[in-house]
Amino acid sequence: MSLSISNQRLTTMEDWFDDNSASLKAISSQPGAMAGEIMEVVNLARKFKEEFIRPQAIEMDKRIQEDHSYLPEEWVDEACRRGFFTLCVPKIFGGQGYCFPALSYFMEEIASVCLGMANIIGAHYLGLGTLICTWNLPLIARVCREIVEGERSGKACMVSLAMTEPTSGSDTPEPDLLDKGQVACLAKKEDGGYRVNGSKIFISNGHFSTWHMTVAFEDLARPSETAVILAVRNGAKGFQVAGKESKMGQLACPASELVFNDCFIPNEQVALSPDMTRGYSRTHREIYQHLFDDLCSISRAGVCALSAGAARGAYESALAFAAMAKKKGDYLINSEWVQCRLAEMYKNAVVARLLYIEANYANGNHGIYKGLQAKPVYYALRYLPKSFLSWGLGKALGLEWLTGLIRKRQLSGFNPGMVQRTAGLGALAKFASSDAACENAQLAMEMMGAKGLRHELGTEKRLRDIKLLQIYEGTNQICRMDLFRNLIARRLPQAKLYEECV
Amino acid sequence: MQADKVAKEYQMLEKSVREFAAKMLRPRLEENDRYPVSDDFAKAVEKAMELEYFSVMLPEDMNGFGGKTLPLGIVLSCISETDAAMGAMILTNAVAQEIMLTAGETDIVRDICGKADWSRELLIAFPLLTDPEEDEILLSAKKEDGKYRLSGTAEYVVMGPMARRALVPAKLGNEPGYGFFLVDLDLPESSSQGAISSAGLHACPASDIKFMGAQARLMGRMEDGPRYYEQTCIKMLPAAAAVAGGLMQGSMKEALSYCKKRRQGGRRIIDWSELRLILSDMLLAANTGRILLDNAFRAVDAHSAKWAEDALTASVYVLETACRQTSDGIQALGGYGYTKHSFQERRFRDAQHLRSIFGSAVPRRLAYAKLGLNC
Repeated sequence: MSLSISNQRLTTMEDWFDDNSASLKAISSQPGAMAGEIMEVVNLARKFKEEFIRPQAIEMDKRIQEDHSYLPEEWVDEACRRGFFTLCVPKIFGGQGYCFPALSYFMEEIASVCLGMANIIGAHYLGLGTLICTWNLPLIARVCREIVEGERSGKACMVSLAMTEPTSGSDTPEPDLLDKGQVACLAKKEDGGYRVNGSKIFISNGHFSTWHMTVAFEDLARPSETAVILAVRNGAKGFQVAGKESKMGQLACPASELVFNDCFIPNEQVALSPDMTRGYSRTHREIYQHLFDDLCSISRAGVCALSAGAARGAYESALAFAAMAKKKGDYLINSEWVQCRLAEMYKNAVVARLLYIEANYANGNHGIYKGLQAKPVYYALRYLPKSFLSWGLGKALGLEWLTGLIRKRQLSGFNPGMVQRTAGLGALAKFASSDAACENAQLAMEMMGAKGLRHELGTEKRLRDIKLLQIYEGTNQICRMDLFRNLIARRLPQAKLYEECV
Repeated sequence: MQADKVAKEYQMLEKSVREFAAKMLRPRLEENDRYPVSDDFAKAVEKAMELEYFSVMLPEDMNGFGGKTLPLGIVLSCISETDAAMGAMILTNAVAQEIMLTAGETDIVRDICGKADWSRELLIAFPLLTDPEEDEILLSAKKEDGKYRLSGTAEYVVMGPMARRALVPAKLGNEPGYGFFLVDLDLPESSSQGAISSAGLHACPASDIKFMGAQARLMGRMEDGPRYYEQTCIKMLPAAAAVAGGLMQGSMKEALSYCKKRRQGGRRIIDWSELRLILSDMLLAANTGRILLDNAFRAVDAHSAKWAEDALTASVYVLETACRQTSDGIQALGGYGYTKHSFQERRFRDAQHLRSIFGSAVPRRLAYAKLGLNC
């Protein structure tokens, strides 16, 4: 290996500072009322956690371990009854309109007791977030109306994201990997829509959802240039929610297989296609990458929030054990090693929380939340009556040129440097926090010895649940590559991605 | 010449165990991750008894290898590469037998093994994952008419739901220390609360057992219980670690096999250097563990000067490394490794149990520091 040293600095102080100080900028730009909103949502989560989840989580886990086909519909019903599936649906679409960053705090609370339940709610917003990232306003309005109606009727209407395929996993959201990969879900263009053939696996909430945001490809040889995102509704001919995976943990949230067999999806349900981006200043491939960078910026912050909750839960159970258990006649908590481990676990939980907070600040400053958190927009959406907003939306949806303009601006008017900042932080938050959560789970198990192995104490369930955090939303190895791509490689013209020099 | 003969015997033993695991355990691995066990697993247990894996460490006149730990290590690591639950059963039985032999109760062990025409008769349950020196003993013994009766609870007795007998520690009144008692679990004065729902080793279940004046037989002398335990514990720790070592070998092999087949971004995932490093670390951990354990078994069997330190060095390393390595084993397979389609998730769960063998991990490390650093 040769090493040439140039005088050019590989990083600048400005970049380093701006990449990692989103909170500083957010102090002045973020609407002050968001703090109050967040506390409202945290209180909702705490109430739900103590009244409903904590008393049932262990028993439900056991039940599903004994019968992996069981679907905890009653948990979905309860979350629906409490309004959790419309919590962050913007008021303009009929939802409760809580700001999106509040969802992270909400998820942390739920995850501190049960990651399975947290993922039921989180995966719904992942599906909805995918749709929102396409900026297809008429389709967003349609799906959101159904979600709101589902809540009103008591029959939850949820959204899933269908991306992973049997032969293609973490490479699907990365165009560079995608083009060399083995995707097989074909969307053949026909008059009036697309005909889809293929299958998707590991789809969180597949069994619970009404809508499935499905990524498919017009040309399997050129997937990133021909990707389409389809809103597939249950009941579509040729579409079937097939098997349910037998997983190690997060059992309450099913991982489903979706099968498409000559399934026709009409144009009104096409969220994004190459036709739609024709004439934009960016290529379809660039838009695909931008869309999934935007999505991962928020979804990985979400996984970070789950990790923070799980890390906290592990800490809390270890603390309770150490405070009560006696070894050789003294409380375990009086051992120095126990105190240091509890301090480490506390640190892991807090660092995980700070990471999603920072990632969300970045999304507010530069990312997909930016528009919604601009003070005039935020306060208008918060304080104007729903009926007025609904009237306004109706008018806007009638103006095709306006929805088209908004969409074009959002999909192709992005600043790559800003997207890199949010996506890089999202990746960092995800892998750092999930590793920290796994460490906490292991430390709790280590401290509790044989007691920690007992299902009824919940520690071993947490360990099983937590392991998935290192895998979904891009394995932690892929997330490290994403951090490199977004935050490190941009000043290194010689850096190649997803290639090997050996 | 003698050494050659022994080496050949060990090679034959390894071959036999690998054939047994491939034939009797691997085909039904998914079913065998539960309790009550399947008929096939029960048959495998009987076959393992027939092949004398459950008596491998016994004196030669009981068809064992004369108290040597290396043959037991071979059996445990080779079986656990495929199925650690079966390994844990053999280990639990061997530990109970060893405590009884250390206590001088050879005749009782011979009697139990001699009657083994039915598998349940041979099995001796034992609280393998607790340390009577550290954990509160909730079981007390009372002497009446020259006989002992047990009252209270023995917690986390491994094989409690399936064995005929249990070897449990109990205190005598307020006296310090404890003794080991062999108790018949079929007695009406003992009741199991069923298999504990736990993280792993499902086919080798544990239970909390309540005794209400159950007659029991003291093993050796009451005041020597802690000595029997300590001697057995250090001697048998490498055997426990051999189960974890088997898990590491199995995890590494399954990860390697998957990474050679699975493609991502147009190439086999084994050809991505980050993943290759994960596999490299897994291999390093598995092989380091194997070498350390081999050294430890030989040191224990030869009664070398530093046998206890060697035993602890290997065991502490392997038992802790297995938890991390089996986690990497899942990671290498991604989502697939997290499901029951692969056996990586099971190995990850099983490794957690083994970390708590003879008490929790940190006190064991502190004991290691005391021994190794003489401080």
